[in-house]
Amino acid sequence: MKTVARSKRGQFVIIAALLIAVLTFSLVLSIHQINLQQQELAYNPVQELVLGITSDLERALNTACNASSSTFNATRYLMNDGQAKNVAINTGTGFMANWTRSILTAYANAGLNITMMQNSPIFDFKWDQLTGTTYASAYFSLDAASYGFQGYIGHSQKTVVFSIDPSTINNANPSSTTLHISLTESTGSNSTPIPNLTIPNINVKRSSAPGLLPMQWPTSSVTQLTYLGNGEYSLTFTPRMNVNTLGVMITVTTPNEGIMVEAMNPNQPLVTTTLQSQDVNALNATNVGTIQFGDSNYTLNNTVTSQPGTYLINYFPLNTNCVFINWTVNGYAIVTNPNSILTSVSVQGNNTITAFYTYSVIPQADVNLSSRDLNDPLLVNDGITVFNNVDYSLPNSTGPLALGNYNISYVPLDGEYFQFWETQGSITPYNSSANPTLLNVAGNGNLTAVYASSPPPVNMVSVTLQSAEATGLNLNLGNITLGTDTYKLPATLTVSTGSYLLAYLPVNGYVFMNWGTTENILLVDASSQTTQVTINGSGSITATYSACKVGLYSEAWDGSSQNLGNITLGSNVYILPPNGVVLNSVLRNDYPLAFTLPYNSTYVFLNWTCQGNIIPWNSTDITTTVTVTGDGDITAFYGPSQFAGAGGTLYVDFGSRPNTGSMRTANQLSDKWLHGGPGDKIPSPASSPKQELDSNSTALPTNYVVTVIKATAYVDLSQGINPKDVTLEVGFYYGGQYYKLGASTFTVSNQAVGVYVLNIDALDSWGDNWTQLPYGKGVIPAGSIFTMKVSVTFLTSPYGRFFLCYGSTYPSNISFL
Amino acid sequence: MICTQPRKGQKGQVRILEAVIAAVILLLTFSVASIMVQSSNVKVVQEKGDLDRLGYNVLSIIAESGGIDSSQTNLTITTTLQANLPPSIYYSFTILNWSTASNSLVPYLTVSNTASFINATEISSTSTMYTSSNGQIRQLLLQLARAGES
Repeated sequence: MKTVARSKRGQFVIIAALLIAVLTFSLVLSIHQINLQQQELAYNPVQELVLGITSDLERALNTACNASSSTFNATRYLMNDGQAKNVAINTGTGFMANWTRSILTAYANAGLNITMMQNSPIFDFKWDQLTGTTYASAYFSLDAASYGFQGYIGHSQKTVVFSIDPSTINNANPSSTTLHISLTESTGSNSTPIPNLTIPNINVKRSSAPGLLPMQWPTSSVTQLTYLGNGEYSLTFTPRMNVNTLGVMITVTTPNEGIMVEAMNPNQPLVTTTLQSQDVNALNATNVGTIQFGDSNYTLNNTVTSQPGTYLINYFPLNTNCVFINWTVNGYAIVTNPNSILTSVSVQGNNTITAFYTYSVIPQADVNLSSRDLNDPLLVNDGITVFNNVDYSLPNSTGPLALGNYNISYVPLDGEYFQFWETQGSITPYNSSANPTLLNVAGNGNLTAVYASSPPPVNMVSVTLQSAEATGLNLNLGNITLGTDTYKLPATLTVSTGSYLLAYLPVNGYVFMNWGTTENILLVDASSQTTQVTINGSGSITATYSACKVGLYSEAWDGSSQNLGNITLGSNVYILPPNGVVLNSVLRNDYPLAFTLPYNSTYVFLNWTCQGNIIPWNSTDITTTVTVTGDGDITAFYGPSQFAGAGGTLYVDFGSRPNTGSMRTANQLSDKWLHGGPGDKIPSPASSPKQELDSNSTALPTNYVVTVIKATAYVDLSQGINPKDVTLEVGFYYGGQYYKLGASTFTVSNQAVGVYVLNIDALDSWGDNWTQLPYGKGVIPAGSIFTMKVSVTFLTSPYGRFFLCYGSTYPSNISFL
Repeated sequence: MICTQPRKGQKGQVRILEAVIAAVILLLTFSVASIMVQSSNVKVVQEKGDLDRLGYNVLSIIAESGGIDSSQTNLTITTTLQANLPPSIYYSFTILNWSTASNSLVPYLTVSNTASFINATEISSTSTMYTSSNGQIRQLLLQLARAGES
């Protein structure tokens, strides 16, 4: 054994060396691993990963909000608000789901798990109000198993707020409207102004007439956009909005993310007008007298409910002591001429109209009386002047007098003779050569009787009085007062030279314009209806008078057509030619007014607009009264009728048969089938591999809103040879173009009568040219012709034919749901 | 079993041989350990970390600049990469578009200044997601390596 032990000593050395080697390796490996682990922990990119995903969540949410709001904008007037929101929310939610899948795919090797949390994402649209908002929000949870990272909750939110300030609406310019808008966005609690909005980002629809739905509002063009700071802009668009309804709907698209938001100032509803009157010296309304508003007279105070529009107002004071001063308004109304007792008011919202009046103080005047010698300026104040039957020694004064006419006469001293009257100031003798005569006192004045030592020479001349209408249409209407006498016209008089009071009395409906005289006759004021004339020789005096020039027009709400229909003014009906009618001799008066559209028109009356000196009693009533006080224009505005509601069915009908068994008119679509028996059917042309039957409706009398269309065709194939398929197509013709709503091809269900049903979502299809339609998708314009096309393809010749059934047993039809 | 005894001269030779073997083992052990310790230094790992950080920074710049939505994406990205990467760095930038139809990310565009990274000792690969304003969901992939190692 000893020998064996000795022989193995060297082996222990090797074993010891091996043990040392193993221990060394272990130690080195441990150090190596520790170093690696420390470095790996330091380089885990979990922070970058989470930040990257969170950052992209914001971008994805913006994009989802963009798509969602665009969808809502496109669908909101084609279905009810709830349905449109659901469609929009589905669009946004679908995008976010897609985004989540892409994240999971991209980071699959990191053991990533990302989940949208319950009730997330959220999309919301509040647009039909003065402050519109588009809102989106999303919460997600994130785990990255490979990095040992779990439980992260990410959140992103986007709110775009757009406002219209109705108090800034300015319609002073007849062709444009200016108002203020503001646009801000926020991703949390703090909102940020959006300063880079541009005109292409804005779409304006304006209310053009009362009664139109917002979807019918026409588009206006933005002509000016000015940034005012803090997200606020001044916006000008043309044509301007309806000044009565003030409805406007503005859609903006944010420049950076393309998110749409809309705000709307809705049409004003019925407005309340409070009528009252007030003594100008009183603190509160005293309500004396009555006020005519439109075609009714109201005791005061009173309230009137009316559509926004223009109405006549006229104040009737309690008695002659009450004198109207002016109109004042509180609220949304504008009086055309506040200083005129008879004028019009445009009511746009609730308002109070007050007629201010005062109790009149009888105006008085003093007349100073004197006399003088004709030839000797040092001889004055001889004789007596009798004024209003009172003798006055001269010089003298009458004292305060009421304005009016007074008898005057002069009693000279013996040996002196009256010559004529001299006046200064606001007094006029009817005949300055007559003694006695009348004196018109319109204010203070001096009256001097001129006398001489011999009687005045008598110088008789011939004067012709006449009148003429300014247009020359009529002559010598009315009367002329010269001195104390009034004459029918024409009149030729022999009068003594001297000064006379001159006045023109027009016929009702006409007004005085001016005087014209020959050279020997002089006027104090040729434009005054009552004045003083000095006759120095023979000649003529002509009064010119006039009636009114009134234009009659009609115009479409959007200016697309003019002067359709006819207008009744008074008892006359005027058929409007292309340029309207101008009446040159309309007397000042109140006239019945009415408008009639052509019998086959799809338009309806909207309102009256009067310009100049014409006052409509009620601008919203197709039959009303106008007060003509001078020249002016009357325009009747018309527009499309209300849209028809969805619903109804058009049936295939083979039309009338004037001669039974012989001639038949083409098949058509009508409200209900009118002809034929229960099982009647229309044959297709035979002997062609593809045969088609078209059924057309008459032109739609009104616009038609559709959401879902269901076409049902009953097709009898019993006489066809090897039919392959049936195609059913629905569309309509408008403005010479065809708009395809939908089509489907069905395999043949059987050889006898088969039913083929086509359901069309009104938001789909419409062909490629639907943007040319006036109301876009969902509204089939008035004048369109529906068509249902049924075609069958046959495989084998001879092909036979097919039949389209239309009787009560198999009523092929189109239903609008 | 009968054990034959070595002779004295032979014993000495065996001892010397055993000692030599033990010495060789120890020498080899320390040599290998030395090499292992040498290779476990953090130089390579640290370098990858630096490239990763650089990659994420560049991706962030590209995403925030909106250059992905540019009509000249290729040129814009090349300019951005060259402006933000040192000249000694090789890069390969790839855009993958999300395909809704196939539920996968499909290569759309690659911009690179090197033919391949085959010889690189360490390649940094970083990525981020980018949703463009037109609704395109994209993954941006950036690979970086130091020049001289590829």
